[in-house]
Amino acid sequence: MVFEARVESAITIHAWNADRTLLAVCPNDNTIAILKVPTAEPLDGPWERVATLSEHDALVTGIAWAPTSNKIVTVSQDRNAYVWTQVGGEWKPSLVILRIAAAATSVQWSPGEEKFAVGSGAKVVPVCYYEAANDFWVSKMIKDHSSTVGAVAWHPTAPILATASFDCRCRVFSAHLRNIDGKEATTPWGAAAKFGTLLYTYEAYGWVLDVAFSAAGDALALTAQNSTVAVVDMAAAAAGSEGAAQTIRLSELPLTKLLFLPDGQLVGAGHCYSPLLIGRAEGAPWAVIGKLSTSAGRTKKSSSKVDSARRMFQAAASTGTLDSGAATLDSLHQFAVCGLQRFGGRVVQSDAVFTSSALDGKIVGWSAREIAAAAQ
Amino acid sequence: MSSGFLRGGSSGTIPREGNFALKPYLDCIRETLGAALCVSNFASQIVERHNKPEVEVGTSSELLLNPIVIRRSDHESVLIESAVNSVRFSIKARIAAEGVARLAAASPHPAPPAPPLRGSQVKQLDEMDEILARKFTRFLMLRADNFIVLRRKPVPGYDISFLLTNFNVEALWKHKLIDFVIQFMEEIDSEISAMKLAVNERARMVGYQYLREMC
Repeated sequence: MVFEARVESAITIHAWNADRTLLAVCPNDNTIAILKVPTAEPLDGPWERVATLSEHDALVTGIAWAPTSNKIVTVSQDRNAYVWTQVGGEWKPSLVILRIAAAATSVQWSPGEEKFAVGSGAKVVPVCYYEAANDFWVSKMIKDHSSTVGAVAWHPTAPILATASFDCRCRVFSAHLRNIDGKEATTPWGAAAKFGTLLYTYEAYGWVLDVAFSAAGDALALTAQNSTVAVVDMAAAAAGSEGAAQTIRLSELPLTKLLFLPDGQLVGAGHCYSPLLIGRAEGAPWAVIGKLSTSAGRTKKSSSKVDSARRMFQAAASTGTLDSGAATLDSLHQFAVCGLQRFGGRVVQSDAVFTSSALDGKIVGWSAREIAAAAQ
Repeated sequence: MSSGFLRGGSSGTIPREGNFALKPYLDCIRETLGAALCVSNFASQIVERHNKPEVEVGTSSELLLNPIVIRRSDHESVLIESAVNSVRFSIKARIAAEGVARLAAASPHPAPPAPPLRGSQVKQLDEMDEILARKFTRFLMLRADNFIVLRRKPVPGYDISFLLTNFNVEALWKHKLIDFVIQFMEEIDSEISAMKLAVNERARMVGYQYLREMC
């Protein structure tokens, strides 16, 4: 059974804490709201806001919540990043010296949580780590991009970083910092190379919008504006073989977010409002398995006459037309999906494997049941 | 001049194409616009703390996609220019072509594109169409703020332009936004045709009254 809750007027990013009791969202402005997940029905409706993080002065573009250290890092179009730590119930910001001249676009904690990478419009990727002597976060730059970097992803075990750039390429870099990762570290490319070494490039022929590593780190998935998803086999890419990447052409509008599920399947959503499930049978190539829909578990609550009349007036008020025929779409989200997050927990009575959020302010939790239904 | 108006008035009896004939054209525009409107928030990578429609500033070539022209006839086409966070949609309306099309429909033999036959009349009809279209689109564009997505100036070579940005797509339902643009296209067309009929009607009345006075 899916759960859906309209928790804010709009959500551009969402992030969960380790035990899934708190949710950080950006309501499409320069603040971050920390919301408490309700422990009883009803789920729908505004959730209790326990804190508001307001230090940025432009649109917040990235939130990442470190599960173990419980630190939140936020980046914004004002070119700044803050690391928030909870001190006695209060969230305290600490400044990050990003040294970029344009907006930051995304942020990800490394698996070890001692460094994070920031995508930026300055065509560089700052990798930041904490310097105890100065008590602030400092950054080292990964260069080699010729346009904005829209998304970054860390390999789950090795100190390598994948970047998605608007120059139509996905790149993999070494992000090995000696003082943090130690001298010895292994990657699919052998011993860790010097920081910032370009290891692999994939040409997508369209703006690369998102990248994701699988949980085991054996596959890298990327999505591009030309409605393609590519899956790169890391071992083959490291060996330099030609057919390392497999491209899947979609019959839907492009996906902007990708997420690997724990069972190795891939979900993606974005301009296609319903999540797409992508996977492969043993030995077979990757392919689109199906679209996650809600017919299985969704309660039909909009069937009454009053509701349909209200929808018609809403349509008339918001668009000036009386045509109520296609006032709402079939999908749960009515706006482009702009966040996909692992969940793997339970809210009141609903399990969810992952959650999606969109600009309509809805958080939707998708359970194993919908995923299984999509596979049929 | 007056004879042209009088004849123009009679042309109103030739049946106009309804929405049915327009449907494939509008469907094509709808689908293309749906794909073009895959935009997202994108801050300028040139000027810090700026967030401007890239299709307008055009400073980074990699952020612009190839423009698409959907053409129904020589005088009737739309131009869709898309970028990472904005889409510019420009319409060249049917109005300018209507006179030519009617003459061609009235004559038993299909005429070449630049026919010498009754050249002066075509020109006169075109002039009135042009004046009407110019005045009407100007009237709308002066009130562009009320239309949210209307651009204050058309792209050169086109009659009216829309600028759709990621902020519009974030605030309004995308499918309804496209509906609005398509509906606007349909309405501006019939509006100008109706205005032209009204002008012709009036000219005929004026001519009739004038000649009655004389005789």
